[in-house]
Amino acid sequence: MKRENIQPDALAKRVVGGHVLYSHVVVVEARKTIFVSGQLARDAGGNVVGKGDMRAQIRQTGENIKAALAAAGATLADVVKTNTYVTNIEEFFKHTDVRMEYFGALPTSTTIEVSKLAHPDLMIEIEVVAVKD
Amino acid sequence: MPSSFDVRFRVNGRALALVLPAESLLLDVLRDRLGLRGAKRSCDSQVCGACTVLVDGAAVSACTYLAVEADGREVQTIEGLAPDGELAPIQRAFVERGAVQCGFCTAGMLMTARALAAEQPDATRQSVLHYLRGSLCRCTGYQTIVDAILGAPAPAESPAGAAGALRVVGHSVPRADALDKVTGRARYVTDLELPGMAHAALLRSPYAHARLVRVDTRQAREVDGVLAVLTGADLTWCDPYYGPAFRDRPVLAIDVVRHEGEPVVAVAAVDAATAARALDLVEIEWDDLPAVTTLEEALAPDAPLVHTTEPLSGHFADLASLRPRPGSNVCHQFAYARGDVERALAGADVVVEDTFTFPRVQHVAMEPHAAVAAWDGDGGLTVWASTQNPFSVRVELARMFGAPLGRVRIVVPLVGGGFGSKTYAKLEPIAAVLARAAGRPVRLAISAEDAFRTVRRCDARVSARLGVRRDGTLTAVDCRADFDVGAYADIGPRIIQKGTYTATGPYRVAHVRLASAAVYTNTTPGGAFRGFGVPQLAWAVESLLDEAARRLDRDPVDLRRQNLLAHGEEFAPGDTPIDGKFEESLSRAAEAIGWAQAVGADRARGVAMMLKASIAPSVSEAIVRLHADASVTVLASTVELGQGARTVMAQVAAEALAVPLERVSVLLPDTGVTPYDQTTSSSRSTTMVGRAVLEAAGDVAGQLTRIAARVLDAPAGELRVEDGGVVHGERRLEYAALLRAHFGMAGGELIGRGVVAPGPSAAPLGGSTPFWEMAAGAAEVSLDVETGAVVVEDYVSVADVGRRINPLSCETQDAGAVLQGLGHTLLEEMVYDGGQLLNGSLLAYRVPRADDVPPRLRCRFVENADGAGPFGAKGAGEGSLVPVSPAVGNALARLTGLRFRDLPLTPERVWRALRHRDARRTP
Repeated sequence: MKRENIQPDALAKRVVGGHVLYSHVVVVEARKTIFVSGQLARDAGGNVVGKGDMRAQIRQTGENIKAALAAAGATLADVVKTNTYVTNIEEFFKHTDVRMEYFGALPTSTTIEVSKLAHPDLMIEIEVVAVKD
Repeated sequence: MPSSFDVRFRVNGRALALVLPAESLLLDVLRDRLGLRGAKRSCDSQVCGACTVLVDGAAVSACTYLAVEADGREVQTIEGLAPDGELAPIQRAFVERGAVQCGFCTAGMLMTARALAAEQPDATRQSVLHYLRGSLCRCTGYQTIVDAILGAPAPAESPAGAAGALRVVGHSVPRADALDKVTGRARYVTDLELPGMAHAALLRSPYAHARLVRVDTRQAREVDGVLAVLTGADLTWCDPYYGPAFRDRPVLAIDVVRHEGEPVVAVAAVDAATAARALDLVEIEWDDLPAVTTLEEALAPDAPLVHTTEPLSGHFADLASLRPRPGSNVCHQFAYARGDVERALAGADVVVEDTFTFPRVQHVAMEPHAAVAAWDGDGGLTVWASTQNPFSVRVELARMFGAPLGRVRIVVPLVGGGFGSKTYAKLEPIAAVLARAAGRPVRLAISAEDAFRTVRRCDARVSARLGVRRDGTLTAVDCRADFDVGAYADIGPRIIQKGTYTATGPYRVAHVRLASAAVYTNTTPGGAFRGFGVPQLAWAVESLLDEAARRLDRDPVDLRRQNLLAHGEEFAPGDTPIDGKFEESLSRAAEAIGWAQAVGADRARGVAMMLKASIAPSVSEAIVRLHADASVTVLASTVELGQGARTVMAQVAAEALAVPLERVSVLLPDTGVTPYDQTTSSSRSTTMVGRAVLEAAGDVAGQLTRIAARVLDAPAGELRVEDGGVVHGERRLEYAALLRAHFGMAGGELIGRGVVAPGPSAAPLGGSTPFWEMAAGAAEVSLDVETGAVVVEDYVSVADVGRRINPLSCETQDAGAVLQGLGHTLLEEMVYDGGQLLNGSLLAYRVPRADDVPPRLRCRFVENADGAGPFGAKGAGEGSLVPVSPAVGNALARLTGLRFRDLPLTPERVWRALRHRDARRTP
């Protein structure tokens, strides 16, 4: 599989904590495309994990995405696109270090603050697209 | 003994005969009787030299010289230095060398120089420094003044590299008001005289905290010539409270006084002496209350409370949700965190931790606060004020009196230095209520002594922990700061937010936990002061960084370099990306101080850096008018307080409109005329107002181009503005001709408008800084081990300003900033005992003098034209102050092996520490 992350000069590169946060453009040639539903900070029993704790919720959401990808024979390294919905974008930005533990492959990214997710205690939802030969 | 004398003397060659009361001071006679207002009143105690005149050729302080002593003598004032308009060489030297900033000390300096020249025609640098010990300047850093007096040749124009093809911008053109300032013509608030103007005096509290049991003003009211006597209780006809964060400050004390020196009774009378006499007749019964004068006392459990609850002001978005801690003296708390500090500290190879303190210091602007207020017949109020932000003062006064903003007019003449002390309302509310009660204009001008009771810098106690990995990566900063905001919050809540938020400085830190509190005490209210909370934090964090370097056996410059944020990297996630090159500033500072070279055993070097956010959100507007003769008027509300902003605006407009600088005038602020500008502070004027002026000038240029396109019947895209005309190929039309063509007569004008107004932002403090101010400093110090005296032998300041619009102004601004930094590093501290300020005068409070300037002091600049301001400029003026304390402290630590945590580093403090160290060494 061929993958190229591109940062065009015309677009500002977001650098936080010495790390680039995402790629503006990702180009891949692969056979399989994997769509993962928006994942939430819920454990296997459906209970909300980390009420009021953005770090814990990012981590649980990341772990759920990992599990979903594994079911399709893929890993986080195969993610090319993320859509992130958060209820408090400032709070989310304070914990980009945790997010980067999961999306170090620099997929393309969109982040949106929303007023509410599926449960009042949920603070973040991330959906991803991955590709795999 | 007669109470009046016939005094015959000559003033500037003119013979005069006056009948004067015995107690008349020469300064009052010159200023008020003879209208010679070049000599200035500041310290009233023969310390500052602003009132210096010559009597029979010798320099005297007119503020303490009885006029009768001048009988039979020859008096010379600044007005006599260039009688026929031809500047004396010393005046010209002051203009050309950039020795003139706010101008309030200039007349005194020039007269002192004149006396010195007569006394010692071949004065050496050493003797000039000695002679100037009685002449204070708070703006320039003295270097340019000393050079001008010595007749040193003016420095060559800075290399044109930065300016490139620019004609006016990037060149050290003389200041717009320098000529007025060296001839004594410059007018400040106290130089204004309105018909029928009354004079005010204030009775101030001798107690730090007391209940007003009874205030009896009946006798005072009956004094002949008294026009109004007011107490807080009398102010039933307006809202008697004000303040930019909390409306916690009464115009005059109501029921309770909360600090020594708080205004309690205000009198307006036909003259100052009558007002003072009336105050002597006021009777007050006080009930002394327990006071808190330090952070420790104010934060103790069961501490007496300075305030109970105060309503929010609601003027500013970033101060809309202040968080007081009920039942305590904490009026606001700030917290910011990212990452996981505890885990990062646990995983760090080295953790350094300590608590540092920063002293209470005063701005000592040479011009103390002053305001003149006048009401018109139908309820309009005009205040001539020595203020840095007329539009904030307007809001406060409009709210107090329930008046529309448009009916309150704030006019700001030249200001004799500010440094933050003149931000937000100070004396204006008192002048306004007195003028209303007296039914005529009232002038309220305070002395330098009372300025110590008006505003000061917030002292602070900062505890910090830094986590560093063995490879030098700074992984965690955990910091807690308590700021003492004094008796009224003023802008303290914003100071603690902004200062604390940037505690990590210019470094990349993944795990951060910051917390701070604004704490009321029964002391002079704390307010804005150059650096706005950053110096307090940087003193702690930059000192600890050196400790970490020592523990890791790393070079402090290298350790810093390794952790610097890169150009374009976000300061914090979601905040403005870094718009400068820290690496360049650090390297240039290290190189200039000779970091790589060996230093003698009796000296040591230290470095430090800083980063500061400007105020946000932030709005500036400007209007540019092109007149029929192609001259230009710029309307902007930047206050000229010595920083040279007025000249910068003229340069920007002249460059953008391609007209000669001499054709551009910049009006002084008048909220009834000049458009909105949030504040002259936060190093924002060049960037924000400069951008608005550039945009307004561009608007005019656009109009000219459209007119020319019509007249020349050419496509607008092929036209260009050049050297006062619009050019199309070989054809050229002068601006004046275009205006004539447009209006059909030699009248009319083109008006351009510029607006800089950011939208809402998701940044942590409700607005992203429009630019980052950044600087590095390097110091080489020596130490007299016998006395503990620290001498800064060499200092290098490097500021990343994007581009210098006026190079010489930038240099003198930064030299002044360094010297102010040396003030709180080595000399200055307001000392309280039991709620009483012990050294609230220039006699007792020691600011840097000419002979305190480091023998070598260099101010350098990084110019990559990468700023958000016009022509790539960004903020300047505050940054260079901040690294001074930690750079000196770090040098001293390397020299002595001792880490100093408390400022200022007075000889006594250093000597005691050395003695303690040596006692422990020899068991």
